[in-house]
Amino acid sequence: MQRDRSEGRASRRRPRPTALALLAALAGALALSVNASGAPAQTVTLKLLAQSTGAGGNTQLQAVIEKFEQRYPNIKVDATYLPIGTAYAQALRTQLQAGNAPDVFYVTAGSGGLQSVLPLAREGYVADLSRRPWAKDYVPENARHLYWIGNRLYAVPINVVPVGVLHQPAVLEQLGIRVPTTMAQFLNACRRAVAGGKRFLNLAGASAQNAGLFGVVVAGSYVLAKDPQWNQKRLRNRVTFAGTPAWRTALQRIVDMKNAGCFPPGAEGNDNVPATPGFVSGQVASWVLPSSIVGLIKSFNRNAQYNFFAMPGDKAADTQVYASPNDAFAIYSRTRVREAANRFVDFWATPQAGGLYAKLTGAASLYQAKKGRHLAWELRGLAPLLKQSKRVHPLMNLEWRNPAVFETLGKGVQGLLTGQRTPLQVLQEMDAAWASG
Amino acid sequence: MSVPAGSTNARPAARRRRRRSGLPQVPWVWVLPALVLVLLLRYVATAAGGWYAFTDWNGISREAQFIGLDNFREILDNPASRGALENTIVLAVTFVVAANVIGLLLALALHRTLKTRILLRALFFAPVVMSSLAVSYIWQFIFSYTGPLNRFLDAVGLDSWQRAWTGDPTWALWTIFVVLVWQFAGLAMVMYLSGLAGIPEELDEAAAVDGASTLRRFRTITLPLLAPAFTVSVTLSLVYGLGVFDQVLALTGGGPVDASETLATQIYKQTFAFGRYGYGAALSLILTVLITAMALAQLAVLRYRERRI
Amino acid sequence: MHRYTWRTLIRELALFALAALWWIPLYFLVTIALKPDLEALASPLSFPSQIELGNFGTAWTEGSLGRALANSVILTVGTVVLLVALGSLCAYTIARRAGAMSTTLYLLFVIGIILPFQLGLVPTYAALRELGLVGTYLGLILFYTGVWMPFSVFLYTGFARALPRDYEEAARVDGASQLRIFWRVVFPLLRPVTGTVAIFTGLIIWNDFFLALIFLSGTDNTPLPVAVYSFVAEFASRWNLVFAAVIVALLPALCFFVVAQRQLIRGFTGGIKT
Repeated sequence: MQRDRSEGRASRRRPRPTALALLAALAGALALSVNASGAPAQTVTLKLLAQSTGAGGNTQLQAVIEKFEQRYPNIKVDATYLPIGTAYAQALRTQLQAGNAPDVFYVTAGSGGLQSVLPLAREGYVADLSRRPWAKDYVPENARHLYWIGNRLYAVPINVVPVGVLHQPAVLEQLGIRVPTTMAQFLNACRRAVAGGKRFLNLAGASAQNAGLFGVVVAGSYVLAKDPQWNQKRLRNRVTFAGTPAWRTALQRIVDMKNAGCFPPGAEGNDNVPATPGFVSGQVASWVLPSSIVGLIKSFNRNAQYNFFAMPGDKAADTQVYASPNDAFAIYSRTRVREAANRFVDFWATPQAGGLYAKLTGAASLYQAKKGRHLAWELRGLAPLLKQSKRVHPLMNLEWRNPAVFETLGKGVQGLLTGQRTPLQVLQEMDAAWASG
Repeated sequence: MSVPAGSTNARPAARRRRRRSGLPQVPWVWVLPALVLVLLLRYVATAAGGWYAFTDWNGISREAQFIGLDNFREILDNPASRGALENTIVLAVTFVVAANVIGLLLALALHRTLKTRILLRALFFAPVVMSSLAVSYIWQFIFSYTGPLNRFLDAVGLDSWQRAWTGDPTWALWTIFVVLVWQFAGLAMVMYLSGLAGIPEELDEAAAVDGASTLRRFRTITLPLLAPAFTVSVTLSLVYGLGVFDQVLALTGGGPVDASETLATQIYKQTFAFGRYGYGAALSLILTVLITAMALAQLAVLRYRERRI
Repeated sequence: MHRYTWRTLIRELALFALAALWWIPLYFLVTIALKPDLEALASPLSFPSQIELGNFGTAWTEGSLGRALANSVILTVGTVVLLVALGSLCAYTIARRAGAMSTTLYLLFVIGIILPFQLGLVPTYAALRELGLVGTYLGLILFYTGVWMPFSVFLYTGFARALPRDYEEAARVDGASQLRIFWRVVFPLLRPVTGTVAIFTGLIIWNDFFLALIFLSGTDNTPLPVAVYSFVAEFASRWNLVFAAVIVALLPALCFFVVAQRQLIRGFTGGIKT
């Protein structure tokens, strides 16, 4: 009974004939010309849905939106912010399916997450942006496939988020540890930290997000160092996780880290709330985090200074770094205010908007990342690597086939710490998750 | 079933009956709102859920493919789902036993004589009215590595027992058990207290005069007469234990590596986080059958014993 | 017969010790919620050296707890009103009419009590989504009402069957309409059951997390448990803020418990015993 109803409903929602679309486009163009001629235009409300970054919505995003509203006084942005994770993804999917989606919404690159843009685009929910003036060369080459399907572009990235090992240089100094450039040095640093009564590397092991990110970061300097095209091969099923020696080495290194006493005791059971105090207080020296979270971390302890280093591989030359155009905005394909929505994505593609947002979040704008200049102070440790484009990659998991693969890695890392899983088992489960979704 | 109720036109029916007695019949229409809600939301929805359990519906697509028993086969193959099934049963059974034993002991201790029994009852009952999600966060703190439990163990010289309780494959499930019992024992106590209140005091006194020992009096008089309270408390705790969700999500999130997944958390994750509606419905079907079967079996056994006594 | 001896005293003291153990979690809850950031980080177990009420303000605004409190009230009151109004009306009809029809309907509701709601969850979610009711108060109130209606009808029917008809007949002689008779005469007589239904279902719905998470998460309409869950999931949370939010979530039900303790326990046992 339910199915019948949903079918009937779906057919009613099917897109109108192209003639209507043409008419709409014409109307849009007309509206544009009216605006351009300076005639007082009616105020348009643009509904926006985005993730909150914690305390009280998303102040960083809101600051950029205010700049946008100043630039376009006749466009009012009605923004709703929802907590990161399933809450956001579920609300977005529900609204898209119900046909009352926001005009503009936050998405992430590729296909590996719950709110990734490409699966939504394939379902026809997202408007094509390839005709926008900035479209051609805005998305960096190494991330093109995370935003384009064929000759259609589905979202505008708003920042580049480098990921690395965040640390307080003062704590390292106090322990007599120099920034490790090889895995052997890294493991030594762990032993030194233990000798100094502290621990070297923090981890929220019970958070699949944080543990998964950690796993991907370690794997970068092994898997991608050996084969930068590994993801493409995985997508074509020419390789598997379990069948790739570099993946097995990478996960074995996590076990080595555990054996070297890198993690604070209890790390495997910690979610973000219990994991934060140790790092903020300097009891644990470092933590694998995206740079977009630095602003928050700094808010805990204003006096602390932070820097990043890249997670090293076995050899210094293997070390890779992730910097992904991760966060983006997409336009709802059936928005009634397409023109205002276009203005909004165009605005994000300007250096001013990107620069402001980067400054507020601690990430980099697409322009800064391209040139490797004007980076945030905390990113200074990653700057030399970020300039070597061959060693910079978008996060591997962004293009994985479904969210379950990354989730499986996150749980797997926790399993490596508790001894419930061997590296090979984790990889086999990731292959299984890849096949299931 | 709904046809007569739905199609009855109230007014002529009422008029007809008014002729027969002084008081007109209550119109059947009054049944309708409640009936429609229950028919649609309980019966039709449950039947539809039974159908989804045999499909691969993903929540978005227009078509749901009938795939026979594939979902159920996958549940048995998928370690997370199979583990959830086992965890749910283990947790529910141990919880039922512990909560009812503690509840009964508390009830016996607080039944009579104590001067402050009203206050004490209130103290033990208070957790029942609290949001189980919210209290689970207090327990997450207690069980965290740097939390009170480990500090206590350290202080009494049991530092080798310290561990990340919610991140430990063997112990994670039992942290949930502790919270369940802590919250539910007060309710079991109240149910047994109301059972005890129904036992005539003279019976006990007469037996005492006859020289029966306390234990014997308990076994031959109190326990049999508590049978109805048993039935209710055990059934209710069983249904509650089988559906456990809030405590898991707040304490362990189902981890480490699915070690504390339950059917309800798996239903939530598979359906709403991974968009596998068909698979989620199959898990729900299993949970439904489990709850119904165990509740009915238990009711049958307990009622039988009630009657025998 | 039951004399207060020294053994009784020991029993009383032992139970107080146990009650104290029972309440230890709540001791942590309150002390940590009152601590400033650094103290909560450094020495979580000590007694607070200074009282930091600001945590409650922070949790209140950052967790949007005011809105969540209002949502909880709307959801609970909305559902309870429907359960009481529709349930009593339906049960009264079943109780006053005889015959196979009445028995069938009664059985239908009784079976509905045993039938778990989980299996109907996915289809209901899908159907309510089609109707645009996911994420709204109405959608969840309807679902709650459907889930608990059999229970409500069951309790009311048992009680209404035992009610004498004299009052109704007297009112009939006065020429009151049927609905008026029900509302003015019968419904007040049903008050004990109404109390049981309202307390029992009200408390369960007030504390419900599972269904509210599924139907309302990601909207502004989420009740307290979901709001607390979202608040904890945010990266910026700390124990003192989390616990302040938890206290806000627990306080209304606890206050109700303190004020209406006897009725509440009676309502609970009354609801369960039948």
